[in-house]
Amino acid sequence: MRAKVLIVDDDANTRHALRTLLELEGIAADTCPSSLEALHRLETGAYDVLLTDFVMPRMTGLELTEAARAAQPELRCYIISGQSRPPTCPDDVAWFPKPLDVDALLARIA
Amino acid sequence: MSSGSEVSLPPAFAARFPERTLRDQRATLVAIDAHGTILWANAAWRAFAEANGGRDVLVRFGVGSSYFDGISGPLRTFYQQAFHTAFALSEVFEQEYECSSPEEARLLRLRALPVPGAGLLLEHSTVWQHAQDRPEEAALEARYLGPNGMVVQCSYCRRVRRASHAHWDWVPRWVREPHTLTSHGLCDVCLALTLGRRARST
Repeated sequence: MRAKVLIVDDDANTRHALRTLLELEGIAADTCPSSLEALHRLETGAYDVLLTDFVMPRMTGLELTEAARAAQPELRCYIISGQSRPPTCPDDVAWFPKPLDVDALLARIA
Repeated sequence: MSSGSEVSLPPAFAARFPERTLRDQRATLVAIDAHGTILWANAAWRAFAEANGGRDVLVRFGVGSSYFDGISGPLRTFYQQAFHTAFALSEVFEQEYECSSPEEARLLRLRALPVPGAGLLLEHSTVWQHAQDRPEEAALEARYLGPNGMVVQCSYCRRVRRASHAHWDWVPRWVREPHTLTSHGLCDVCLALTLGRRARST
């Protein structure tokens, strides 16, 4: 059984690219434009992986992973960002710099 | 590796192009062999390289090094194929391309002139050149800050999206130091490039 992924990014092109890249590898994915919508989707959908941008309005990707893990501790969380990894990011949250190394990301998710 | 200042133009090139004429050209000129190894460069090439990358550039990309080592990503393959075709068919390859720095906007014209049996003479000449616009920060923010108070910058090419979503622009100031409220996205061109490359490889 392959992982089901929820992609969260405020940039529509990035959401489209990530979803397409995952689907080319046979990995099912849904997309959300904001952290708040993502929290709602996580409550109602069965996701194994949260793949989120870091810098987003209202709630950062890191705050999203914390909130999501509070409800679903086993959720695998990956953050993609053009920023460097902050010291407050837990070790079990993988951090992928932008521009994205697609192969490295797919290897972690698959 | 040599900077090229003490190297003579190879005979096959000199038979077609008088070396004295080439040396004095304002256009940057580089002679490469069929594999892209730099055989000779004129003073303008060395001056341009020093002005834009320092003396280290001449050490790394001097005579004996590969011209293609200075080109990254898919452009490297593009120019390798273009030059191979120009040499094989003995046809001139010509192209205009942007080669801007944070201080200057430039459009250059490249001509690859085949020298049968020897290689190519590459000529880079300036089509136009002017100082980059330096608008005030407030004027930039008015144009690029989105309704969520953030600037969206393409994480691949680093162009910035206008608030109107109509265009992605090269904003030199934010290439060197991004706006403090920058969200990294993907412009339309880089989106197409990324997905197209991946689709071809799967």
